[in-house]
Amino acid sequence: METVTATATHINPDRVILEATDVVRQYTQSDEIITAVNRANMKVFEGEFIAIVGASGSGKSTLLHLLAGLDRPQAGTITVRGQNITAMSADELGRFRGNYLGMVFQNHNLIPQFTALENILIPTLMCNKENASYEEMFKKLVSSLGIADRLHHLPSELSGGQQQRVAIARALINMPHILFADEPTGNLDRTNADEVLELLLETKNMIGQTLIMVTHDMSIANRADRIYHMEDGKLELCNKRSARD
Amino acid sequence: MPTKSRTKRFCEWLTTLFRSIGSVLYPPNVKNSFRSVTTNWKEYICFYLAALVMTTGFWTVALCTEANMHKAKKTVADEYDYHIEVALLDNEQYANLDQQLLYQIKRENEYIESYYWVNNGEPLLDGTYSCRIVLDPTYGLETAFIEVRSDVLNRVSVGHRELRVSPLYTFDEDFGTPYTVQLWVVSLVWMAFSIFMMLVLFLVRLDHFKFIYGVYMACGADFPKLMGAAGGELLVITLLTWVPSALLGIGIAAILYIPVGVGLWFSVPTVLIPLLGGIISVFASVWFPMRRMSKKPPVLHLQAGDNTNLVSSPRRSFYLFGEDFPGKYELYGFWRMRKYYLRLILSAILFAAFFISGLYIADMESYHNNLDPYEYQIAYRPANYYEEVVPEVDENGNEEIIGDEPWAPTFGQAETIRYDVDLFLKELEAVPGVSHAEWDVSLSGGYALSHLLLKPGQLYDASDYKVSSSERASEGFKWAVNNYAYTAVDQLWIDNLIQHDLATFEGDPYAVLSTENGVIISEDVYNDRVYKFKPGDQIIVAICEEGGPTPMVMNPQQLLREQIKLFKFRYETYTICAVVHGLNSASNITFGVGYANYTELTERPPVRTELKIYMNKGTDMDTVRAAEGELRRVVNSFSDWLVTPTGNYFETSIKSQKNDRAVILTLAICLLTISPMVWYFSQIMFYRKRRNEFAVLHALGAPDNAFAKMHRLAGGVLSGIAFLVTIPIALLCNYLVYFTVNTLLPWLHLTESIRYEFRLSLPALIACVLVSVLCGFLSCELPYRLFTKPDIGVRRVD
Repeated sequence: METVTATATHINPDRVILEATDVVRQYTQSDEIITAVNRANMKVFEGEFIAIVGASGSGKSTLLHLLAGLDRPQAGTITVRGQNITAMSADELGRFRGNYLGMVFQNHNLIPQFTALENILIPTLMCNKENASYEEMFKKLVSSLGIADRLHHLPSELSGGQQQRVAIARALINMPHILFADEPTGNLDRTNADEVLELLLETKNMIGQTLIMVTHDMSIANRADRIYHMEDGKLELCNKRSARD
Repeated sequence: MPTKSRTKRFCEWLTTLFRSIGSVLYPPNVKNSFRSVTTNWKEYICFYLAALVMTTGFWTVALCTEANMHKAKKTVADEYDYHIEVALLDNEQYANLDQQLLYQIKRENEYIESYYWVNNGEPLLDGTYSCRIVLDPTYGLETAFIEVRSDVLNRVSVGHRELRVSPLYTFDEDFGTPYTVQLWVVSLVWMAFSIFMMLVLFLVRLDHFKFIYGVYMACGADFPKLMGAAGGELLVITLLTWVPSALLGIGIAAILYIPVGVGLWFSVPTVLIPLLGGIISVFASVWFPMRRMSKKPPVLHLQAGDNTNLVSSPRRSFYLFGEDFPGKYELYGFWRMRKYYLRLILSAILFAAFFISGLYIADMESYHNNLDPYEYQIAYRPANYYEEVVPEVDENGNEEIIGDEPWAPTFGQAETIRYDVDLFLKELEAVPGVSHAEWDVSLSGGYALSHLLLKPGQLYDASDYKVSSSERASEGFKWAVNNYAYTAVDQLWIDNLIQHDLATFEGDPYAVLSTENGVIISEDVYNDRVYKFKPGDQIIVAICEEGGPTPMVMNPQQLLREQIKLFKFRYETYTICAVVHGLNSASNITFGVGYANYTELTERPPVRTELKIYMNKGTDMDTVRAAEGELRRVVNSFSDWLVTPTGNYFETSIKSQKNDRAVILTLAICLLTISPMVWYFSQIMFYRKRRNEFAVLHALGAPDNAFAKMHRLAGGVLSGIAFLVTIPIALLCNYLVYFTVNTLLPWLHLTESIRYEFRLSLPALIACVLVSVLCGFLSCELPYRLFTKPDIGVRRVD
């Protein structure tokens, strides 16, 4: 099994790390078919910070779930690190997620009966990497996220901001190559939101990560390398900070 | 996408299987699972109980079968102190054999341990001598037997004699192997139930913990990891309950066997079966739901944080304006979650129905073990029998007739046979211990190349047998069948069935003796009704006048079609005098006719060449053995009649000593205990997730007593449905058991055809209905007292 050793020095900014081609996701509700993602195309380079913005219900979260391999598109392909994840079996995709992808959910999705520490360590149970690399990362995350004194608390005993930090720590503990974040600052006040963003960017730079974030907050989106806009399931590139596209 | 080859898919499956096993048994995983199931033991209490029930079942099956075998061995050893018996020896043979045996014993022949003469060497009632030999088992009984036969018996002067082996010699074959087979078969059946019970409980858990597994999957868990997480916990629980269940199993077996003087025995399978059975059951019960779950996108499971995944119709809203609260509110909720409730009710009640079916099976087993098969066969064996029928003799000296052509005496012999039987039948039945004699003079319609023509109304469920026929279709006889056997009927035959309660008749059976072309007919094939006759009905018999060759490999229907096409028939109309019910039936129905008709239809004399002698229930083995000499004495006055013991009576007496009924009852009770577990576990999980809903309602102004009403209303509705559903499900399960045992297994030739009555135990049904109704109600009341009521209190204080 490949171990994650990516650091900032290994980034190749010209290498495409994720590519989505004509991705379609539809839902059937009663007799009505709702197209949540309509032929979305996207190319992400290694080490980039991508922001996806759009109104509520425009399909941003659905797209993020598809890109993170948490859901399957009806049509189109998604290639991550040169591998077509839409053609992978459920088990292959599961292992791939564990090794290369991390996800911060909008509503945290912490397991209520587990303590913060246990929640953070869940991914380490799923991927058989060496403990040493986890421990080092764990110490860094806990200190930089400021949750060292809350590790033995249940999620219900933590504030919204603290829960979000625990969720971020859980997403980063495996040092994923790509981190997907679904409105990670949506439930936080400005100070907390800024802190979380700084932390994500710092980690991104530290381990040479690619960051794809869904957000409503334009002040956060404006710090991204590129911004995609989503409307009625259609994805459009609306800002090019780099000349790649 | 290119499709994978079968081999590749199989290899992948094997890899997944081994990775899953590895993941479950991975020491850190076992350690985590142990911590999880011991610290949160309340969460897993249901699985602890289920594992206890499951493993106790395995222990009970293993220990009781072992005890049965040892008990049988003891009984056999008590009754038979020899391995082989050389019987029917005359004076010369007696002297010869005695000399040979003495010589062998003197030279310390390693195959013979000892021998003795029955009746202390005095002649028996029929004037013959019998010698019993005890073999030395050092080199195996079979080798000893072969050696003794070639070394000793072949040196004894020729002449008629009989060599018999005792149940002590055939113990392994007659009892040992069947007990081993029974042990594995019953263990496998119990494993199937165990998988089902763990599966039902695990599905309940999975329904309510989908979110957690969704998080695991989002964090990179593949199927083996999920198996490791879920399977590891259940495996640890099974191992933790292994010792307590062993104690329980030993306790149950001790209660069942020690009072009847049988000790408990522990062999390797006895200890391994509960361990392996439990592990395999747990693994299989987790495998299937987890496999299904792992194939779905994790985002679906992440959405199941509350009960929304149980909602059946989320898009059809109810207009709640001014509706009754909490009554209508709760009923609407009931409808919204109907699939959940239906699944809950069905799975919980199924276990109650299994209990009722278990009682039914226990009754069947008891009935079967107490059936009296015939003990002696008295057969007419003249010289021409041995010329026409060439029996193969196995190494035990048993005759086996090869081929299916039935032997028939000549018409000349028939007169003598009839005369003989009329003379000795009463005397045979008067022998001490003998209950009655039975006989069967029959020939299948198919063998006689004839068939019956029936009207559509006379067929009940005969699609597997009927062939359309145009022969007498204009008179309404549109169907031809040949699954029947001509049976010669006389007054004695009818008397015998009536006196011994072997059958009942609709119509006047004796009319067949006086009516021209009258018939007594049955309707069942493999104890399942196939035809629909009533007295007074007419049937046409097509009798072959000119036959010819037909292809050999054909099913009976194709064969009949060919016969109708190629052969010439004449037709005789028969009138049904009586319909006989309750006879054990195999592949043919009975077509009973008087002697003259039988001869006309089969061209054979209607004589009893074989009699089956039944013993009275409860006769001791000494009387049974003594009866043989008496029977021989009776028939020895008539030439060419042979008495052969079958050993069935002893075999049945051992079977009836088995405590199978109690074992089946124990397993049935074990299954019944799962029913409340399903009710409570599922509902506690369900209501725990409803706490947020209740908190919102409370915040919106719902009074405290409304919550009690909601729970009790739900409990009432569940009880009502449980009451209505338990009876049909129990009936259905019992019918499936009845059909399987009565019809399916004999049809598959897996068991002999024995007719059982369809029954539903009323006390058991009442008990199950009560359990279901009570559990239905309490499964709503208990969560109210556990979660909702204390929560309301806390909120009020706050």
